[in-house]
Amino acid sequence: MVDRPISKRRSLPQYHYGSCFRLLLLDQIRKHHLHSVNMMRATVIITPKAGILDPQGIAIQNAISQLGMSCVKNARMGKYIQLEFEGENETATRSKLEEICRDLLSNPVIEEYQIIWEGKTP
Amino acid sequence: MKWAVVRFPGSNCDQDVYYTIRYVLKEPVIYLWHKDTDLQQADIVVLPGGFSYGDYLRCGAIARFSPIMKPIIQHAQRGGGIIGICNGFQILCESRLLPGVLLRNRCLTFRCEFVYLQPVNLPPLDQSPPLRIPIAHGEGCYFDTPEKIHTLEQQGRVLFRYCDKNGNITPQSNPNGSIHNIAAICSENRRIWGMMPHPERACEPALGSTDGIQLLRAFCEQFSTYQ
Repeated sequence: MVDRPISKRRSLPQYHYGSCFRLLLLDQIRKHHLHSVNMMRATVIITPKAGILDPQGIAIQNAISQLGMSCVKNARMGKYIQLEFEGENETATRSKLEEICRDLLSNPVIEEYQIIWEGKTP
Repeated sequence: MKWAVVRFPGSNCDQDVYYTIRYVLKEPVIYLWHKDTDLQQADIVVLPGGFSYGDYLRCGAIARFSPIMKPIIQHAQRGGGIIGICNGFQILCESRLLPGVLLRNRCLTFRCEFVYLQPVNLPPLDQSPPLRIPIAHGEGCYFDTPEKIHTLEQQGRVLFRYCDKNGNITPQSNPNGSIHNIAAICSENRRIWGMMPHPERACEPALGSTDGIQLLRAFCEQFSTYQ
């Protein structure tokens, strides 16, 4: 994949995680180049749904607060899964991963997910 | 009635359940391996406690896609009996055989202790004093959307609630933060039970309690009542 600057990437999904996190994440992804043009990379971000109790997030918030950063008002903890694919059929890969995200990678009762795709975009 | 205990990689209460069924309930019982594709005519399948697949991703999420789960889901659709204990309950929720989800304990700590359980919607057991049965889990906080919980309560599908020694359902007696102190629920046909407490660990006087037998007998009762 040609490593385009962030601003020129097309079809970037909308985030609500805050721009700092987004930039950090994309920066990390960009460090690892895909090996061939036939490859795609998906980064799946799973977060607890709004309003769902997140005891780990609360514990993290308390710990940050105890370190003297009492301005922290909310912390939510999720998961980050990076996947690489090789193959011809891009559309099928994309729709299959959506299905797998719903069935396996996230639990729709409590979690939501977002997929960031890289490589092989038209 | 023929029982079957399913072993996943990481199950660790399989032998306890097997022992209880065979030597305490005195019923025929077999082991099934997670790669099996046949239930060998078992009437009741037990998903035991433990840490199937190391609790990776989410508790029970990977076990749900084991080969054995396919015949188990068919068994459920035919109205077969299933008991999920602890990790087994998590697997049943992940498989959507039971509603809801089990979150990390609200207190964040792994709770391993005896608790009291008030039977509800389980005549005649719900007239008796609370049962004393141990729990051992880090992710046992039962959760679902308010509408789903409302339906569950309306249908009388909550079977046990955490309570104090005298049967009072209080926040202090709730070890993990479950909604409505829920410790065990069942399916609509009342033949699939999921519970966080371990009845198999309370089946002989040497273990400190024999109340687990009452729980298992209550299951057998419902299993033969609701066809």
